Amino acid sequence: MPDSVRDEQQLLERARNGDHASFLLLYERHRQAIFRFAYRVLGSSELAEDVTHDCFLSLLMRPEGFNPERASLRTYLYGAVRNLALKHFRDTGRELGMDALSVEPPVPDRESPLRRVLGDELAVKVREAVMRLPPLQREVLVLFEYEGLPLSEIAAVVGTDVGAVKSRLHRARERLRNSLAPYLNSSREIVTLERA
Amino acid sequence: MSTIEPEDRFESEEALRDLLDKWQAPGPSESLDKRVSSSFRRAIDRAGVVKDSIDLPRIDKEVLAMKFCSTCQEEFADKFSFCPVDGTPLSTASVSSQREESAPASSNQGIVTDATPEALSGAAMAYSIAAGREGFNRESRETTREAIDRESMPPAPIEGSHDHVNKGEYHLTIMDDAGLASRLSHELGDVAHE
Repeated sequence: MPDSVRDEQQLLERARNGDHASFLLLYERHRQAIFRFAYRVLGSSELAEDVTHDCFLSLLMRPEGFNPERASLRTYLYGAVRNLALKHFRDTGRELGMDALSVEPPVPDRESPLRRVLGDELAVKVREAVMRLPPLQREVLVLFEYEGLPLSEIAAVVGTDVGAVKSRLHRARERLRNSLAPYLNSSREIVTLERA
Repeated sequence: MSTIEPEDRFESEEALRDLLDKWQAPGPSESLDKRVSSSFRRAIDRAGVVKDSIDLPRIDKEVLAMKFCSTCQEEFADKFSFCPVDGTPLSTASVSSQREESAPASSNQGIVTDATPEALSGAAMAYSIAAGREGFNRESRETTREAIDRESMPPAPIEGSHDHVNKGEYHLTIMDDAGLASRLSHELGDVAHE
């Protein structure tokens, strides 16, 4: 067992025994990635916060759910987010509508007005295109493209084999290429504009 | 169906990646951090409460080893075969099971659900008062006994110990003695007065 995994295991044990600092350390390590994944799968900051909260609390409430012999803590947390997101889709009977997507605030940055306008528009289009993907394709795409997870770890998170992950990823990209085709060149133009 | 030509695939992969990078996710808010932190504290507190309650069955096990006297309603260590107070054979059944046997009957009658010492003394007092008013005739004794049984719900009699079960009369006798003493002191007071 690698040192980092053993270290996390010890932190988790201490957290379960009531050590607040150990729990916060674990939370600090994973919160960004877990929230990002939840946000991109659910398409809403509010829902992503709820899921991130529940996911970390599940480490305490359902200690039997995490087995360090089977997967790392990060893989477990991604899996927990994924299960909670799918449960949310099942409970609501539908995925997030485009209306809900449009109210999400843009991420603030330090860009020129032209670049910001173009970038914001592209960001909205990309977000809409990703949110239109079926959940199983979306989660794989987000984990691979945004979170940079290897295919084997993605397979562990979504509970399938690497072949199925590759297949879903391929179909997701094909869909995105089709839906974002008009913007593919725009993206390049913006990059050129930035460099000029 | 893709609109991208095969020879453009590599370039389109790069372009797609560039395009996907345009969608940046926000970071988690401070309120989430506070919420997670406070939920952790609550969960740990709750777990502490549950842990404490898990210890209770151990106490029950200790109680199970006790024996029970149906006459004086006291518990004694398992080593005793007879009640050290009144000599009644102690029941081998556990205290908790004795109470469980008595509880449904009492709940059916909607009165006291457990034979607490306070309930027992109150019932005995009611018995004594009722018996005094009725002149201790057998019929009234039976009536008042039912009242006691209903109110205090003593443990079910063990087999072959009916004499001891009737020890409800024992309490009556004590109460009656108290009445005699009271009357005697009253008579003495009269004599002194004369």
